[in-house]
Amino acid sequence: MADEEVGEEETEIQEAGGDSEAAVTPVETEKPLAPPKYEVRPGLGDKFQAQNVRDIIVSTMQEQLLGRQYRSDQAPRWAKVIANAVRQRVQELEMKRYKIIVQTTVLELKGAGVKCGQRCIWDPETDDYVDDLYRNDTIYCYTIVYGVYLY
Amino acid sequence: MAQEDDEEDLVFNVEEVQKIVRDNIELCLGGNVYSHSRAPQWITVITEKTLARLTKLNKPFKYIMRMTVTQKNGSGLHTAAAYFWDTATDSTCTVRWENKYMYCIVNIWGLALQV
Repeated sequence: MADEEVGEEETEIQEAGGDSEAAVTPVETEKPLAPPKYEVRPGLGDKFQAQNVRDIIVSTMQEQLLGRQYRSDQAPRWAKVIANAVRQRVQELEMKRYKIIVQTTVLELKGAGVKCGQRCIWDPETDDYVDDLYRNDTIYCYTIVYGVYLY
Repeated sequence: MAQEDDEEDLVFNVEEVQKIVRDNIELCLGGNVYSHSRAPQWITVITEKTLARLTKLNKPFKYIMRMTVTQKNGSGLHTAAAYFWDTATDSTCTVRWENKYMYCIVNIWGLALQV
């Protein structure tokens, strides 16, 4: 009886020991926070992927607007959907430490004159933008994506 | 004290920026009629003046400024934007202005330089 109990206790202790070993290893693999690296430039593979972003913009606008006519009640929704979809897909590219701004403008082609201009104060070695437009008979859609590096 | 200054510096003051932009637009576009040939010049002047004043504020921000001038024609224009940024420090400011002949929309984005 006593032996059996002892035996049980021993096995329990061993199991507990096994548990505690298992509990210890995760703690060991947790590294302390790395010291700050002060990297002011993205690595070679981490730069803003201009061509990929351009492909995303073009394909998203085509998906959403192909074959459609301008409708004033639907246009705001289209603009929102395109902006969110582009932002989502650009995030999936996982460009580290880049902040993304996407702006979509949907215009009705009615003969009005439109002029746009932009100026940026940023670091031209790390920050970049990509823009593209989609045009059909009644809709003119322009999307621009800015990527700004966070030091 | 230094910390309080830093916190003030790091906030993008929307009203101040709007005021700067509106002043510049009034100065430049005033009561003018939309002109296809002069519009790029107006845009250049307004954006450069505004950014010069913004940089004089000496805040640790990167700025992006976008301006659209449209003739009043009855046509529709819709804009949407989506962001992936730090909502605590980064901000946007939009100014809509119109006169009898045209609409002017200015977007300014301020992105903080540090976390």
